[in-house]
Amino acid sequence: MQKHKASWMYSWAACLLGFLAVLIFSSPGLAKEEEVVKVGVVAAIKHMMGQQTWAGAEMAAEEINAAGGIKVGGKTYKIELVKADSNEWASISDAVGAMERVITLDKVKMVMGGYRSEAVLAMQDVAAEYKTIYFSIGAGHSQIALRLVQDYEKYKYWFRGGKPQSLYGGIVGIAVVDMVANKFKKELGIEKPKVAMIAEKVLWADETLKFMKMMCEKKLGLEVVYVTQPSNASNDLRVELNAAKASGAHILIHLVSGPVGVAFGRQWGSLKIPLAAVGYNAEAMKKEYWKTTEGLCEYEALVDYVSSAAVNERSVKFWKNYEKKYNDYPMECALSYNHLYQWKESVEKAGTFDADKVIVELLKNRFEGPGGVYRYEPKDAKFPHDLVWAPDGASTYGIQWRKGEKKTIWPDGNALTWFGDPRWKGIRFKGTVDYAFPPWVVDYWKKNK
Amino acid sequence: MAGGSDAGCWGKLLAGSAGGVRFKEIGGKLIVLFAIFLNGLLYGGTYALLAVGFALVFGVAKIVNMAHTGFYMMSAYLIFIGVSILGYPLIVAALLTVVGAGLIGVIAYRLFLDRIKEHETAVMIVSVGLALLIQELLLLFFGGHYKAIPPFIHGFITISDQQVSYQSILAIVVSAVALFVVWFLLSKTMLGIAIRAAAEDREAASLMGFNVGRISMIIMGISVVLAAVASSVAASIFTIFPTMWLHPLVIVLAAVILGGLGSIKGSVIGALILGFAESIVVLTVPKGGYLGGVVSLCIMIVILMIRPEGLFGISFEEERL
Repeated sequence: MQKHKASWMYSWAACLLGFLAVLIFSSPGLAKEEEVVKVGVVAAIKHMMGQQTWAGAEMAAEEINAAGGIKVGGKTYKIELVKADSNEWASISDAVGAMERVITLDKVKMVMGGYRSEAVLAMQDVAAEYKTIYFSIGAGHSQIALRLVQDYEKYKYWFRGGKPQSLYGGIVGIAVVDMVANKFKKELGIEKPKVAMIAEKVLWADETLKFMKMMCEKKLGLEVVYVTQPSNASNDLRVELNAAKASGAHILIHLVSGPVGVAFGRQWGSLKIPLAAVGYNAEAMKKEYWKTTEGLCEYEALVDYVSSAAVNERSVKFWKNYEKKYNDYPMECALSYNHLYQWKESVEKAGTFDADKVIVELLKNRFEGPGGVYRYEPKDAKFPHDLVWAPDGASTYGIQWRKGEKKTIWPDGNALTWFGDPRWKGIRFKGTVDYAFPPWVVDYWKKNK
Repeated sequence: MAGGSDAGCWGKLLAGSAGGVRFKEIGGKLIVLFAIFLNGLLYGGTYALLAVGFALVFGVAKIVNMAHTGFYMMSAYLIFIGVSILGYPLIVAALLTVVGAGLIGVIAYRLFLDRIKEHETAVMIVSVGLALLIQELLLLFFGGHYKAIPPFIHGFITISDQQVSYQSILAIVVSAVALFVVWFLLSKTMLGIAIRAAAEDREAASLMGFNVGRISMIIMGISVVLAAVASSVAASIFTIFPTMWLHPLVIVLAAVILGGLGSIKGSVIGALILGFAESIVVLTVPKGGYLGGVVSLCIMIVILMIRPEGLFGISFEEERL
């Protein structure tokens, strides 16, 4: 009996050992390790811009890994993205901490992210300290690039990402204002329409406001009759909109990026403020903006950095894939997609992950993707490491909400004669439409010319 | 005069243009004054509802409820859920929210505030924590995306060259009716007598047979109901987002302190003063839209320097609701 019991126990022990052996040796941890290179995405993850930064990077990483990964020094590396919440809207020190963490603890080779210019200035210092390549995604202030002029060797690790600096958004904004002003002249007989401006009280908007006001007055010869700057935490513009109307303005330039962006679309549309709205509105770039504003944003014209028009082959495919995967329109921050590809190509050309060598290749890189051809200003440029803004560079687009879709309205084939830039003549992508006035604007100005 | 000039605006206001806005001479002055009046009422009405709720809780339960505007925000989200996710008509979602918010207020009071109400500092800290908890939960479920709910009434009317939405007019009317109901409750009902007794002297009220603890709980519910009512008419005008409680909290605190802690009448008048101040600043200070909140606080400070107990403040010897 005891002998039978003992052999029974040995059998069970052998089964258990065998089972454990199978478990251990089939474990992924013991399988042959793939080479992995980590890339940090430090962005305000709870907010739209941060989510888009992650989404664009994720799409690029998946495509690159599916195509075999990054080939360096005879090895192949798969990209592993490391997500960190910058919390930059609430705390710049949180953004700095998140960036330090991914570099020192996660050992990332490159970092992408940072939308708020104030935060990016601080994150730029971290990249400089740790000599890590850093693409800020979306931050538009010129000061970020000017630091490279002051100390190139220290700040050379930074590259502007997502979109060219805000100045160019301002130029395209003025191009659209010019387009609208010409339409007032042609269709409504108003020779010199007047301009009102509503701009959030934040760093990027301050700079753009000054620039656009100057351009309206000096280059287009349009009188700016009203300017106001609500707080970036404001969510009500009824007073400002009525004041803009009372000023006698025909065109309303709006520069908003916070919750006030939704209030703008809803209130401008619901009150049928008889001013043609043109500007930059971060919220208006989202697909759900149409639903959030109950369609009241129709005819709102904006500056955008990604177009659904056929800018190039990759841009059309990117737009479709992004919308399908994330049920949203891609915005400037989703163009982290381009930068991951650029970095990958530059690493492969340099044959190393060494930041100093990769920078040399990045400055030569040309990547044709959503947003245009992404390439960088050289070391000795006025704004080093900024995205080149040109028909054959990173472009900026005028778009208008029409029947639930964002339609491209600029480039419209005309040169920027007021800016002395003839390069845009003849540039009009397939899918571009003409700007249309809101019907209530036409009705009002026919009666009140 | 080119707009955006930083030249002084007061002379230009008299001349018929203000803060860079150009108006016709006489008509222009009237338009500006009407705009200030109308928008002051719009802002002031919403702030008054919130301030009264806050003052009630302080007056009766002696609680500085920093989560008050957090409940206002929570109500906006509940209406959003009701309309956009559950598909209820707006009026149904709003009514359910008002009732539900009141219950949540009562539960929150029992769970978080009742046990520590003797310790004022602890109450303030816990209520701030409660507001942050609401914020973080909303961020977790909705992210940082901005939301909106449709208005009860679409469309607008043009009054004196101002486009005024019907929803804005409704907000003013509802605020006025709600304040009237509160006045009626406090002055004409048994519950109101109990509330006023508890506010005046909790011990004496208790000795007279009033259940002071229950009254405090009821008043908390009423306070959150008022916040929910404010939310139901104001939220469709504004944008809904998880930190929308912060700016109104500053204004409500300023209104209550300006009007005098514990004074309902003072809270209403304080809120209206700040609402009008915000309206004046936005309309008359060049590029001054962002200064609205700052000016409100400055007004509060100036008044307190002249009259530390506030405009209708309680003196140290007596308590008054």
